[in-house]
Amino acid sequence: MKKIKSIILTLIVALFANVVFAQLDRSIQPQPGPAPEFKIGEHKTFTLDNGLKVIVVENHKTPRISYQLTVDVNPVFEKDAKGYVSMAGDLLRSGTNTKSKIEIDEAIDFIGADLYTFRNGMYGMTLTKHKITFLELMSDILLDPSYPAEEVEKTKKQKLAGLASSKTNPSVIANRVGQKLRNQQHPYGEIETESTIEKITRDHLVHYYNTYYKPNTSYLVIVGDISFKEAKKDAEKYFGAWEKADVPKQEYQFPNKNIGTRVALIHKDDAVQSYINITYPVNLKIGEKDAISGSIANNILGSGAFSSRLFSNLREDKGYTYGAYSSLSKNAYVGNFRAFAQVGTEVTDDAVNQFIIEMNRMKNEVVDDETLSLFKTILTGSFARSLEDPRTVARFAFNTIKYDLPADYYQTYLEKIDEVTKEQVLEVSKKFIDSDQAIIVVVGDKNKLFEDLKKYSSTDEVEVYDIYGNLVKEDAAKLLPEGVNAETVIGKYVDAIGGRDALEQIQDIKMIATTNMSGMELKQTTYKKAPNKYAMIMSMNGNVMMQQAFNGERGIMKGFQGEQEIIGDDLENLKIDAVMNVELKYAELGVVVALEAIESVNDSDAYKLKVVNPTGQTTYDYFDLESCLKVQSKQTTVTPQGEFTQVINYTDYQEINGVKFPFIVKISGVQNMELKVSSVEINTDLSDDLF
Amino acid sequence: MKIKQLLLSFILLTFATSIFAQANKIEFEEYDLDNGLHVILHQDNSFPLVVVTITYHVGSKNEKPERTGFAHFFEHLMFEGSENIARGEYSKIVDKAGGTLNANTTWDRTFFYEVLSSNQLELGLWLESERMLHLNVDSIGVATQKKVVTEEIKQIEENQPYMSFQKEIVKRAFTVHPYQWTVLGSAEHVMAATEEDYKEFYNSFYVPNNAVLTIVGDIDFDDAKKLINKYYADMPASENEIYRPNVKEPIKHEEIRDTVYDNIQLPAIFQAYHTPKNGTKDFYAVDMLATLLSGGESSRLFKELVDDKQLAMQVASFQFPYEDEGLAFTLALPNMGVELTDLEKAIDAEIEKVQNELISEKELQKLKNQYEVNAVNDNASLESRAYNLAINYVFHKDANLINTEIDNYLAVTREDIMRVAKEYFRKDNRVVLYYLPKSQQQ
Repeated sequence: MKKIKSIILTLIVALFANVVFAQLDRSIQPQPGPAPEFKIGEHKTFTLDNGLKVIVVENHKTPRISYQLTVDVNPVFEKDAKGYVSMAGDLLRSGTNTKSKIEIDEAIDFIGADLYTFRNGMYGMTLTKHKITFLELMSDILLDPSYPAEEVEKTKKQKLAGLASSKTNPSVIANRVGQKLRNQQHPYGEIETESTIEKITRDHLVHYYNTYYKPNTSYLVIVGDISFKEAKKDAEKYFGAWEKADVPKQEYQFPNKNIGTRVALIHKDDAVQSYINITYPVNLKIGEKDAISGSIANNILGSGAFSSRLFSNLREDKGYTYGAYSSLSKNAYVGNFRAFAQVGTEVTDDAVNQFIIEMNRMKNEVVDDETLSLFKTILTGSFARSLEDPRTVARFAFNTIKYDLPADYYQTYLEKIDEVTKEQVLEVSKKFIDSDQAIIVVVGDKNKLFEDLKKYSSTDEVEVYDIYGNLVKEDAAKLLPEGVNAETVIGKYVDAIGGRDALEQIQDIKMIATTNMSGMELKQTTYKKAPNKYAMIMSMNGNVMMQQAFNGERGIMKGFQGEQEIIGDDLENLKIDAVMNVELKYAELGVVVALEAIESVNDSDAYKLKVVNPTGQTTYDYFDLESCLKVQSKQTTVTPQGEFTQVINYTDYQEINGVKFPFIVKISGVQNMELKVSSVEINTDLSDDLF
Repeated sequence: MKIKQLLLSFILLTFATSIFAQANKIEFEEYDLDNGLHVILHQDNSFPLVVVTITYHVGSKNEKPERTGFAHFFEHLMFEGSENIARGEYSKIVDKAGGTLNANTTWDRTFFYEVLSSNQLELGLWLESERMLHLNVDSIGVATQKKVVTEEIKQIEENQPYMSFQKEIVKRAFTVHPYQWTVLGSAEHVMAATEEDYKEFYNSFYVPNNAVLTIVGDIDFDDAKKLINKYYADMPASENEIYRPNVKEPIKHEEIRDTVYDNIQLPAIFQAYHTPKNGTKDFYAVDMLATLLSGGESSRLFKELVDDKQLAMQVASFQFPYEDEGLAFTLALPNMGVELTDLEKAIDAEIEKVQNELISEKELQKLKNQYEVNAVNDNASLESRAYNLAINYVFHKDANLINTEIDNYLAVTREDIMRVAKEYFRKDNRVVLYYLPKSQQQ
């Protein structure tokens, strides 16, 4: 009887299969099956006598093991040396008391392992068979770092170079200012500046390490081809000697939420694009009831998928931007919401408006079923794909212990996604997506945006900040004094560098400067001859790399792309740049100069002059209030890749034949370089052939 | 007693090794459909993921000399849509399913893949079957992709410094083998081709009997097989014989030297040596030789030329993964003030050193360590497992090489490295190009 039944069943199945086969309608896109079942490796934990919490996830599929160490301390106020906490982590593998950096690098290379260190932790991966060598290195790096002075200096230099190149990067500026403003009175609000990096000393790193790198506040997560027993034995052997100690705890309040909407504007001269970053602090931790529905709500608003709302509205529909996104970050101390995009200056006003409309729609309207199910599918897919990375499994195990989550929290994650209702999405949006408490940070052209943005502020006020989030006070001291105008500023500058008479004596100038580019010395020779001849040669070891010349009428450029005639606006601009003592001749050349403001340049006040060539090319020149010398010039170029601002700083003025020349010229923006002038020769009767 | 103990530990050792090998062996099942489609399935339930890949055994070497760049062009065309997938929707469908997709083309094969959550397996099969069965090879798609592809060729070969090196080397290195043109091919050929040319190419190569379907991940074999049947079993095999060039590049006995003037600021040297066929014993030894020379900062060329003598800013040495006899490259950018001839002498001196002195045991051990790590990491992700299974079948008809290839590397001896250095890294077996800035052209 039973047999017959099963035969019939087989028959039916076979028939059914055939029917399906015969009638396959290829025009129908297959639908996904039920959410997949899966198993995240289970973790086991133990604590060493010194308090180190060890989490082990066994996975013997691949003969390798990853080790992740996290020093779980409260964020500290780093104050005027902000940056030392992350440097203390970055520099862990730069030397120990028994091994140099080179020896560490070679030892890791030999076994083909990886080992990275970073703020409050490290991560590495090794083949199972090289585990002992690896653990010896890791233990040495963690327990006995020496912070060699020269490595500290090298890292500081790298950080400063990084800061310099980010100075004109609108997304970096908008995020930095947003981070500072939304985290008032909290360590998260501290930001790195040149002055804080300069103040970091080796002592800061050593002191931080000695105080906070302790086993009793740390977690070691081991994932991979190792048994629990062996992992335990290893942990005791290699990390058991790490001595425990009390670690100071910090107390701080959750940052004040804003009452009402604020607008924070950071000016960027002649910007043709604005970077918008709408942000505020959020009290949301991993594993909380709202965490998963919050993720879904944020994904619907701004995940960047083709169907997310900000993307469809601002990119697909309005064409304002290449992409518009939002994020909802969970954090043990202070989380945050951000919605951001880079848009054209003229559409900035409406783009902010559309952001607010979409944010409000999330909290006022229930999403439709189709949208909800689409985003559940997207989230399911990205969750599934993330699991392949062993670091994901390590992170899940860590989160489960640290946030005291149910043991099956991640195991049942897909089910939890599936269970979220549209009512829950609405509820969580009301809680976390709120334009009424947002700080709208905009980096762009203040002159064009200031008035338009006022209406978004609850107080009708637009706060103006500098690139490090310091309020720019338009106070009395910075108001332009009576009687000062562009002519008087230029007049004083001319006097300061030697006076009109001395300048007019100059018939020709030959100037040689050098710079270092990735370890190679470049030489720049500049020739100028009155009234308006100009030539510049860049060479490397005697080989000419680039050459520019203007003989009063024709300009040419020679470089690796061959010789090129300079034409159009470029030629018109060159005609003016080539003029000897151009500052004395602005009027006759048709250059329009206007005094705009007093702004701070490298910590001292300077007059800002807007200099516009007949072609419309605009440069901002800054003249120091006290010395009257030109200290900076800025120019923005718009290219299809976006806009770039080049900043040139002039320092170390030295007198040659009664005229002062800047001997150090620092260029930053598209390219960073420091030109050091080695000689200036005046009136050596330069030949016309040079031009 | 002693002997017994020794024997015992020997047995234990071998036993332990085989356990090690067993535990990490990649198990798979393979079979052919009636239409010749080769299927490889590998199950790994660790993650709720599935990777669907199709490898077509067609690359630039299957092109006609007057119609180069077609295989790469088809990689692009495959995203245009099909009878049942509207133009521009192909990638969006994968996006909305929470997955990712991509493709790439070499001289010998074209590889397409989708990574999806495992409940979307059928979607992946449907998507790839649409491509194989009835791709949109129409005038709009062809026109769009002609623009995109010629732009890409220009972007890479004309605008990126040094990137014409492949084209410049292979056209000198190969006289009869179709490796003499690059995968990107010629922009003129791509533009000149007609819709008919493209249809013919599509019908010749993108057929079940020229493809390998690999599915890796959280799958049930029976379900997967049913679905594969559903979408692929009724696809017709191609009746024409598939064109595979059967030519062998003659052995070289004369060095070829030339200068290329390019849009560059710094000069550079490129050397290319003819190397043995993929999968042969010497192929693995040459590969290790290249790693010895430039794998990592403690490698020979790096230590000698970059660190110590500071002759070079950058050095690299590698073998291209061709299917047939191919090339190994050595390239270097000089430091300021260093003549290319001096730099070349220093590189050659390092090669001569390998030809004349055995490398140290420690160096060999380090190489073996690095290859072992590579083998493990290279088979760690589902996607790379799917790729390796497919490529080993396509090139060697041996998918199991995924498990055994590392043994071929570990079997390489110090003597082998010395021998292949002598045999293949001969001056009269190479092309040398000096890249100089255009400004230095007389």
